[in-house]
Amino acid sequence: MTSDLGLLVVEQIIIHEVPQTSLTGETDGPVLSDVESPITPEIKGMLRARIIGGVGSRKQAVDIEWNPQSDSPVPDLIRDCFDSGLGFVEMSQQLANHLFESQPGISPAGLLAVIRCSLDRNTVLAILKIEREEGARLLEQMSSGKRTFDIQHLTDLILTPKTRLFKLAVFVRLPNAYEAVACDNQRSYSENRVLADFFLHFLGCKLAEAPNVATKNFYDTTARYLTDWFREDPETHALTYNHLVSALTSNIQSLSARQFAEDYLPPPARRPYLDYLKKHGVGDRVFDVDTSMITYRLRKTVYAFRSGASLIVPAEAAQKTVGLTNEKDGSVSVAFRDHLTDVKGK
Amino acid sequence: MSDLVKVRNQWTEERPRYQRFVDCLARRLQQDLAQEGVVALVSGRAKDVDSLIKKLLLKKNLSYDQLSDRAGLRVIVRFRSEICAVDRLIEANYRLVKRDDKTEQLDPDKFNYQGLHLDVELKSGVGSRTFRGYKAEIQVRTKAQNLWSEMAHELLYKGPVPLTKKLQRRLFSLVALLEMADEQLETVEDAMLSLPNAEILRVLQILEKGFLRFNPVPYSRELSIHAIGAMVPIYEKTVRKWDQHFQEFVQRNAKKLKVVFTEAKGRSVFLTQPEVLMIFDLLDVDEDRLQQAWNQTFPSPELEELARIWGRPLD
Repeated sequence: MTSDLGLLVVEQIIIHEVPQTSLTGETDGPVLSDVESPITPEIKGMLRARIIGGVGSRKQAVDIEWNPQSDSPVPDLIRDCFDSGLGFVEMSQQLANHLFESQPGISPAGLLAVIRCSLDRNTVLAILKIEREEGARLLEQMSSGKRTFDIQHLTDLILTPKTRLFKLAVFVRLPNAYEAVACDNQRSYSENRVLADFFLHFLGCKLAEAPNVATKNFYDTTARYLTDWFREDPETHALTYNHLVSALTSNIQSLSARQFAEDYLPPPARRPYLDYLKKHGVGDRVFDVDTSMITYRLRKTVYAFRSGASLIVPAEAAQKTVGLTNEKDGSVSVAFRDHLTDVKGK
Repeated sequence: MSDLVKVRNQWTEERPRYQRFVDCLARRLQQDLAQEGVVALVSGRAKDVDSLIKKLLLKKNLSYDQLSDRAGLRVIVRFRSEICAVDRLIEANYRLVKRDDKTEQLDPDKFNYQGLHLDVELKSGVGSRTFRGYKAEIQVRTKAQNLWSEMAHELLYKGPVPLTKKLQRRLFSLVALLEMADEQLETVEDAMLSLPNAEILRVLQILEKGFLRFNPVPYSRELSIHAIGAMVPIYEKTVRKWDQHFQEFVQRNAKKLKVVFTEAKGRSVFLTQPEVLMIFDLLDVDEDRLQQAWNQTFPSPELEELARIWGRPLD
């Protein structure tokens, strides 16, 4: 996303209740609001913070775009609201109806909030699928002359500061284009894909960068950076490259460059790494891991030396069998430990 | 009907509108001063009906129309040099009808009240049509001058007994003392800022000027010094000219700062502190080191909230 989220101003909000879809068909359908909810400056400030915290997150938010193959009415509703005078309330009601019809039976009951904002001179629509949360409120009181706290059980809280119970998409109407970002706070980092499939289908969108392309770009640029940055430190170079391969071949579903930097790079190398990615057109945002375009490169690790010698090792065995030690003159000693199976000429 | 009854009726009718004029002028002055980074306390009032009648009773040579302080505002600044800044600002933005500089009227060997009184009208902008022809007297004073003015008014006009020459002399010697206090305070402030280890104070002065443009509220100087002290080392001499650096930052981000101070009001205590400009700057240029330094000094949720406010959430 190129827009500066700091310029975001919340203007209107409307909320509809979307019950769980019943398999027996007994549910009445969404409870639709007829008018917008009144909002105070404090609520506007809170909503602004939640929207920015979601779609500004480099570990959770991804760029999305309209999916021409989708049969979701959402893209047309949003475009009509932006450009053709479809009323905000009517558009939001149709979104709620579509969400109710399209969400799987396992999706819990919740709320659909549609928020109109401005960002610089552009109009913005934020669509939030929210679940109610449970909490308690303490009220200090005196009972028989003694101080105590009354505890009230609340089950209708939403958007609490640490909440993970919402999905969010933001569409920005630029002068000649649209910009869109989404995040799914309910998906825990790395264990799931970035966005629930159902949410993308509901929105009629797809990821702006195909996961296999995003993964290849991340791998290529990171590998080049490691070669540049650790030129004088082959030992750490080899170690961090192994981490890169491990990160991409493990069972994780999504990854972000920022998380990779925090987990595997020494602190002085982190900021230059993120700057390097930016300089080479690779964002530091989260992406779904799909190694289909780099399968071969991830299979084997090649250690290339100035003399022309190369050591090629299956990637999964590299860490166990190869040990590198930096020498004072800038060279590196290589220790290789394995069971010999053959010796022959090439 | 006597003249005074007429005046009472006329002023009772006109006064609410004059009060709205004073409120409008006070708001505009406050904004103009903030734009210039001048720290000042602005207050104003349309004269009470009874006060106005009393003044006419005492000053028999004045008519209702000649009372220039029916609408009155007071701008209280910290230092004498700031009086000049306010003077320039008023002259540039308002129609000056009359200027009464008490300092210029004093002989070198005389000591008395030295405020600057300016009679003005709105010449353009908000309210200039609605309040066309309305005049207000703006009194510009330092805190010390204000103290003298208020106390002298109490003592000199206390009762029917005129002060003896000796008592008057004691009173006026206080003016000399307060004039010296004004000069000394300004000299000390200048000297403090030029001390080799006063970089934090110099930076605060620069940040304050930018900050007041967007949020003219009182702030904790102690907290500012603490926070700036924690953040200045992050810049590691990459910034040589702090004034230029932050002037450019404010200029570059003026639109965003306006949005942020309006839309996020009340979400972080640091939005009422000048150092918030430095925090926003560092979120843009080196958020990792900012986080490290911050977490050693302040609670991390505060920075997390400020980062969201600035549109760059920390992950």
